Amino acid sequence: MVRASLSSLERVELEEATTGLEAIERISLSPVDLVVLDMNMPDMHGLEVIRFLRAQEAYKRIPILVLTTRDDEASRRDAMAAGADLYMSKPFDPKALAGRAGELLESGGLP
Amino acid sequence: MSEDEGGLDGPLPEDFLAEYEEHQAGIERALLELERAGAIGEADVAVLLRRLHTLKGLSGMVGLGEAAALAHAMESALRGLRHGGRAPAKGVLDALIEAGRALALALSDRRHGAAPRDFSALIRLLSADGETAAREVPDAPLPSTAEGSIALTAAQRREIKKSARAGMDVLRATFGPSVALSARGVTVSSVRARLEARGKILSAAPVVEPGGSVRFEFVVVCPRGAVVPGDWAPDGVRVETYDVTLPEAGSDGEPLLSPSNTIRVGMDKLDDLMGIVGELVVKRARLSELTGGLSRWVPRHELRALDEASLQLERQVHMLREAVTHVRLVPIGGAFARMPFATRAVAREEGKSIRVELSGQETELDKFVVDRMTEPLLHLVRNAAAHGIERPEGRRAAGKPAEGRISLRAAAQADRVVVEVEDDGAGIDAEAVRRRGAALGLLPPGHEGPLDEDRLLEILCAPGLSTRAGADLGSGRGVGMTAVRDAVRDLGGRLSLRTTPGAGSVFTIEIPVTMLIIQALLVQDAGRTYAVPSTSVEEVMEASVAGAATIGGSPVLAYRGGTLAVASLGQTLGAARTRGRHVLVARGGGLGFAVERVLGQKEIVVSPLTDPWVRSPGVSGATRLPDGTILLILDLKTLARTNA
Repeated sequence: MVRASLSSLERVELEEATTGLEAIERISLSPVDLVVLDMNMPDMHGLEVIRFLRAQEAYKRIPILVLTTRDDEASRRDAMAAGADLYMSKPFDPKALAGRAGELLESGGLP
Repeated sequence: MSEDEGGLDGPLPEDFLAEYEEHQAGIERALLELERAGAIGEADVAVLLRRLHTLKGLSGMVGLGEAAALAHAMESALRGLRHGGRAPAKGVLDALIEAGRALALALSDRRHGAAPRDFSALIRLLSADGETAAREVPDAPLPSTAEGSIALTAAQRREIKKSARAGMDVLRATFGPSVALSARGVTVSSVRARLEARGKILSAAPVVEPGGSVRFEFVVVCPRGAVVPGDWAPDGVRVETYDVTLPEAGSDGEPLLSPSNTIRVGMDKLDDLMGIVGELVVKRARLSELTGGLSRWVPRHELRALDEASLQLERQVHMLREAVTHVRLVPIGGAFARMPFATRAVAREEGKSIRVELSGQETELDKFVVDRMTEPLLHLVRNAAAHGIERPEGRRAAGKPAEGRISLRAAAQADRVVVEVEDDGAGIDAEAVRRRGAALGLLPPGHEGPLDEDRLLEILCAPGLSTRAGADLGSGRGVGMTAVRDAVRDLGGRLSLRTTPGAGSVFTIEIPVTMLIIQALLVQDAGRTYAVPSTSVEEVMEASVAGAATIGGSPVLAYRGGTLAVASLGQTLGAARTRGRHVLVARGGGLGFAVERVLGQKEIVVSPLTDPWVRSPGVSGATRLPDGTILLILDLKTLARTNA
């Protein structure tokens, strides 16, 4: 459903990873302009992924949109504090997701 | 730091080490938790700030200037979080965590005699605001991943050690992804799955190479030979043995902190221990009596072995008693330590020049007592600095050296410890005290004539009235003296004053040493038996008091070239007057106490009488004899003084 929503954006190529380590692998192999990230992943928690990316010169400016089932304030705070740009919870409105993602792609990350 | 604060370069006291380490560990834990959770609650941040503050003070006290500065910078950086909230920006948080670690390094350096490190870069980072700090921090990879050593939890390390001992392989598998491999279907996930089929993955984490590329490190435990490096190389996986002896992540050759050689023990445990030893002494004495009684029925030579064993037991119990008492004793230097710094603060404020001299820091007292001495001593020293010592101009005009001197001395005497706080200042202003005394109603209005030192002290220590318009309650030493007197009294001690106008003052605190088990002289007078600590008796004289010369109604005896007034012990204590022939001369002189019988020396267990209702001058405790009788323990010196 995420794919469906995002593929509505123009000129966007999607890459998928099923685990945190895979996500990092993909990002390291070919540059990306936006990361849509789930938090609860088996091998590496989303928070750790965010922190890892933010710690590297090469990746620290990539916009990160967190999309997750956790909707509590603490989780949101954690994610934003770690360096995420946007936090959205599931279930989500596909149009809203596409909209925010589009914004992030255009602005290259929130100021 | 100037050189006049003595002891700064000396070895660090164990107490200090234990406390420093405890706080540093707590600080590090809190910061790591802050990083993990991304936020911190108000209560937790209060604890963290308090620890930093305490550590700052501790560091300052022993000359760990660099650690104090670091702690201060950390406090400032965290000030914005005073009420809890989100973690600071990454750059600042990293600096904080590094600083937390650095606090431990500073201590380590000092203990190993290394030159102190320079933390100014770190301090600058902490002082900068979040934005600039984030830019300044070079892009350090996540801690532990740069050098390739994976940060493992204690549980993971334990498992590794266990597996290694069980003969399993502990391996580090490093996978470097590439587009080519990925096209073949070899990804970090496929590698991971493959490893999982062979053994157990303890840890999997991304690592950044110096060049910027990313690889993945797995720590795997598997049966010996299950993973053959050659099989994996084609897939871009390097397999090597995981070296379990590698230093923990984050350490780059720094000396591992050696834990201090102390443990903290609750005072209640020591009290229990003392109680048991006390019982042991009493029981052993009883055993001795009973064995003595056997000699009536058993021939001497048969008893020899029993006698020897009994003697050995007595020696052992004695040693045990000494050891346990020793555990509770700490040097009074602990209470002295803060004085030079407190004085410096006051001196700076008042524009005075003051030197603090300490002596007798090694004098040992029960920890309970030392802990409670710190505040009173601080009051006395601050008062001496604030009110006793004059300004340099005043001193020079009086012909004194511009620098004032405050001496803090401790010495152990027979059954007490004497602590003196002396200053070479202006002495107590008797006129101001007189005014205060009158204002407080302690002196009749218009009182004239000199005030003796006891009276001066009494007025100084009297609780002041709340502001009374027009009345000059300031004798200059007011604040805190009441607290000092009360604290000394609660310790069963005595406060006294000697002062000379223009020359200075000496405050003397005498604290009885709480020795649970002592040698005592048992004496009997007027039908009652008492215990007198042997150390408080100078000697026992045989003399006939009847027919002795009298002075002012009290009999006196010739004694060592002078005279000694003698009182009947029974009468002194409120019983009938007797005419004993044995005179106990109190150590410190003053008075001799005549008793009818001296029963001999005995080792007794002292039970302090702490109930203020029961406390009486001259009675320092009570003891229970093996046969169950209870005796009062007398303080001859106090009896002598109050009856002179």
